[in-house]
Amino acid sequence: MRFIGRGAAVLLLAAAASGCTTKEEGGTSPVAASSVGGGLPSTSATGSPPSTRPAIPAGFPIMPGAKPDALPDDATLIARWTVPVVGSAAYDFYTRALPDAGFAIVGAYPAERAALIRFRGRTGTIWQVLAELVGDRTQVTIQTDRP
Amino acid sequence: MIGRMCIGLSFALAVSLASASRALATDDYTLPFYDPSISLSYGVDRDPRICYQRDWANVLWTDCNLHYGRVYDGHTGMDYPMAVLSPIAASRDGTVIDLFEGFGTQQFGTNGNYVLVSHADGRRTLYYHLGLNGARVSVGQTVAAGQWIADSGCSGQCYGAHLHFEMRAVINGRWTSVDPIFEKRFTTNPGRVPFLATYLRESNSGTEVIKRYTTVTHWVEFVNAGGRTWRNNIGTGRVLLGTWNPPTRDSKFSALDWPSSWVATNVDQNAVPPGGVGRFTFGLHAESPPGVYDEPFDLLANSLRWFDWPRLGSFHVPIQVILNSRFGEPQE
Repeated sequence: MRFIGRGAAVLLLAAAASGCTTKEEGGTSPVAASSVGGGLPSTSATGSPPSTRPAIPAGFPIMPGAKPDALPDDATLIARWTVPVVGSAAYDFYTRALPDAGFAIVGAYPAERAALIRFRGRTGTIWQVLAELVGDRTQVTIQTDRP
Repeated sequence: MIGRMCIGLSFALAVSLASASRALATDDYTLPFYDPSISLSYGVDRDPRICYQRDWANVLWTDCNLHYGRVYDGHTGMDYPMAVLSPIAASRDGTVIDLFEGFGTQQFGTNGNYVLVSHADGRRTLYYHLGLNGARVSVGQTVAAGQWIADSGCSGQCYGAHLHFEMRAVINGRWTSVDPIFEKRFTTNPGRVPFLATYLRESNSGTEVIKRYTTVTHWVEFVNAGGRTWRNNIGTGRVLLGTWNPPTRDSKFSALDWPSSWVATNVDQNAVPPGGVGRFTFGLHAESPPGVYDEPFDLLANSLRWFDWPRLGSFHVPIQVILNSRFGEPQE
């Protein structure tokens, strides 16, 4: 659980106990399970039940220090964390960690207060990870692909 | 600003505005970098309303989301992803009127490093998020289109290394950001990099056989695939053929017509516009002992930047030096 916050660990155990399984890319993670979100449903889903949200891509890397965050009522959002950093740290982390975890980066789009990375899994599904400045932290969200 | 308070997306095309863009097209600026693989991350938001975004293609997005390759809400420039310390080029001739380069290359904060250039048409261009000491120019210095003026970074409000390129014009008495892509002020849309070439042909694509102590004339032609005119004088846009691998290497085959020991020639024509063909004619003089050689070359723009992109590949001249009986050497 080195890269998953305590809250996420509790949720992981809760998810496992409830019998949730990964629907996308399940069981394909080349990365150590302790550092990825494989097999997890949304870390927090306040607006819609977990069963209606896509699963976190198996093997998705989670930033050190990330804490799960609540999601709004939007089924296209898969999971969200906050990390106590600002600037390019999240973008730099994911542009390195996604390929290392077996995902192909389709496009990387940094901006002033946010950065978007589109990435593809082995089955061809494309997701997006969005890092954006919120207060004095960075909010990291996995979401389904969109224009 | 980028949150998801506003959900929903719609497209609209304003034909009248599109017509206006055609009328404005002047094609007088060039992309502010050299790497042709770099593509737009986000362009200018031309709709001042919050969570209304009108992009460079005149598409309206009625949400606050990021739209990659298009726009994000309230954006005043064009973001081009590039690794830190990538070269940045002036997009048009001008004069540097302001700069700052004291922030760390990836120091996040309200302000970042920049170079601001004023142009003869009354506009200004801003090159933002530069690296520490990333300005290669000084205030008051005149710069040429395509000149290497800065090194990129991620200083200021920056969530991943990129160049924020912004064009400003005085509108209603105020400096206002404008959208050069929508106005078609770039050579093409989304634009061409300043200097780029594609190989076309040469006088002898095989091996040049040269008798020792003699000179042969060789020429090679490249298509000007970039956005700036090539010139053969010392001024703006000078393009020359120099030795390569390693660059600026003294050549064993330099002839009397070479400008220097590593510059084979300038482009032959006075001006080669984008899309035109530039010929480079130069002598190859053999002093070396008989044998087989290979002489690599590359193009250089403004004495600053090599055309060393994969699209060009490596241009080289295979050479075979043979004995010359005129100088007392036996015939082969």
